[in-house]
Amino acid sequence: MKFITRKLLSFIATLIIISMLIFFIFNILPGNPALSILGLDADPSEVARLEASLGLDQPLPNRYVDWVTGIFTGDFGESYRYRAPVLDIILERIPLSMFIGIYSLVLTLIIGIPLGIIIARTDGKWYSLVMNILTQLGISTPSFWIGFLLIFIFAVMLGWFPTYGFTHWTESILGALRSLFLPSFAIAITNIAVVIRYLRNSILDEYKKEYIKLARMKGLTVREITYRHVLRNSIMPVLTIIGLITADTMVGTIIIENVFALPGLGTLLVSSIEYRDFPLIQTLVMIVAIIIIVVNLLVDVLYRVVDPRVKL
Amino acid sequence: MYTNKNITLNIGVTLVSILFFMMIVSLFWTPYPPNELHTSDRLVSPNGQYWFGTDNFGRDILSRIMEASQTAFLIGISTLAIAFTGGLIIGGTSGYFGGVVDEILMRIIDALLAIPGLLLAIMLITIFHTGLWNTVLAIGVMGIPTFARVIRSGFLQIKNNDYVTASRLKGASHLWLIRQHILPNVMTPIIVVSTLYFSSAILAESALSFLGLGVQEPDASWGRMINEARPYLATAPWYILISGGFIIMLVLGFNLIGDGLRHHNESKR
Repeated sequence: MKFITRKLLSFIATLIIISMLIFFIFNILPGNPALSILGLDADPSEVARLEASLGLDQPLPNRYVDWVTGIFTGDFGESYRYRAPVLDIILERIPLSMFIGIYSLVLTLIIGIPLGIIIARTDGKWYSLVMNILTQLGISTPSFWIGFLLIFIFAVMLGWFPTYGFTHWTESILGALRSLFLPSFAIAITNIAVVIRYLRNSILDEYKKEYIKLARMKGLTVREITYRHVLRNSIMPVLTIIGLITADTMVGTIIIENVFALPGLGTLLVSSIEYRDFPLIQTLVMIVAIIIIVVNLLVDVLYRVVDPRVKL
Repeated sequence: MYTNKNITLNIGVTLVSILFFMMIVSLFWTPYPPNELHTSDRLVSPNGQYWFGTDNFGRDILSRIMEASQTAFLIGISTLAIAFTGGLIIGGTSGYFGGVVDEILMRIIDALLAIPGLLLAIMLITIFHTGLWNTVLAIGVMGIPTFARVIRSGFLQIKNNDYVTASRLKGASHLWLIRQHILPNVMTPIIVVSTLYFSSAILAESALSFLGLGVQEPDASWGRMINEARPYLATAPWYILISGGFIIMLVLGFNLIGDGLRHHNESKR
């Protein structure tokens, strides 16, 4: 219980610091939003009027408190660009991004974990060298380039998948899974490589432990040892990189939506930058940061629940 | 002994050296002027005259790839300088003095680490606007938290050694101690982090430039070339494939070096 309380307190402290950082980065640094909306040679009285209507004439601390209390009441302010509540705009676009993100996470795990296990089972000098370089290649390849490569091979050349656009899941779940496969897979590739590397190292370390020798002497086959002992102990540490993978998946989603022209949060974010739509951008960054620290908190707690030996 | 990790390291060094050599050559010579338009030769596929083909304006892709390698190395080196300096100031102060200062600084660093690097860079670009040097600044700042963490833990480990205390008793100043005793001892992990950061800086730059938020015309960049190539994916696939291939080569090179060095250090201990 003491552990949970401490984790929660530090969770809240991190949230407060992040919200301050994001808010002050956007509001202290130079660049007058009213000016960038109206243009540099706008009439000063009009600038003043716009500033008042956007609440920019208030002192900074007041605006920060307004913004933070807004977050709890679901009022994220008004987008400069759309002149509509930020919350409405985000709610309209968030389902698609969530769908792609979760789809990609699922692909990462169902491809990465079995591959990691298979690859760890076979060991040898040249084999590990090739695997090391192949997984490094996966990590070094930009997801957007993989996206184009997949479009070229599977949509342009083979015609197996649609090039752009997607089927909404309310129409057909299978259609959505099929039409969003390429973007989700493009994001997943890097993460699959990360999972394989991590899992393979963790399994190979486990094989070196003393109890494996004992189990061999008892007459268990390598196969039995792998599935009964090694996997249980070595899949656990993979949990700890879930936070990292989630972060990468979210960044990947932002980029890949721009490759496949999908109307999610990523395309919204990138197109908002040109308009310097601060309320929208700071809310989007805040949402991503909150998701990451929540996932990290859950992983911490879960890890302790699954493996009671861990004392944090 | 010739081990796998040496091979990894060698492949990495080879890849980076080839590209570095290409970058140096491009300072003096490219097959064609990178911005020269050959209007009668648009989107020509790779051939003897244009090794990597031409783009939609009829510019020689090889020449532009070479020119863009300068941007890649420039981004890598200058963002590294920013991230290292920032990290040294924050991580050094934190690790050396400890206590409340450490507590506060590390809280902030942890909070920053919860924002994915590229998103932090995008956030800063929103404020600074696009362009080569703003991209450098944004990506440099993105790396500060990581460097601060590594440098801090290095400082924490070294500062309590007896020889540091002895030197302190003799009346050495903080700065002298840091420069003379602590920094040389934390260099090894810093070098590993630096090579890995170099590759993530190049990946970040290419992603930003691809999104149209990074390097702008007339500066050449591999990420930007992919952005320009996207309408021609079906008609001129080599344009996108080749531009991305160079990003991968450089990033892979640095990742392999980082990986090789890390294992090299571990086995030495």
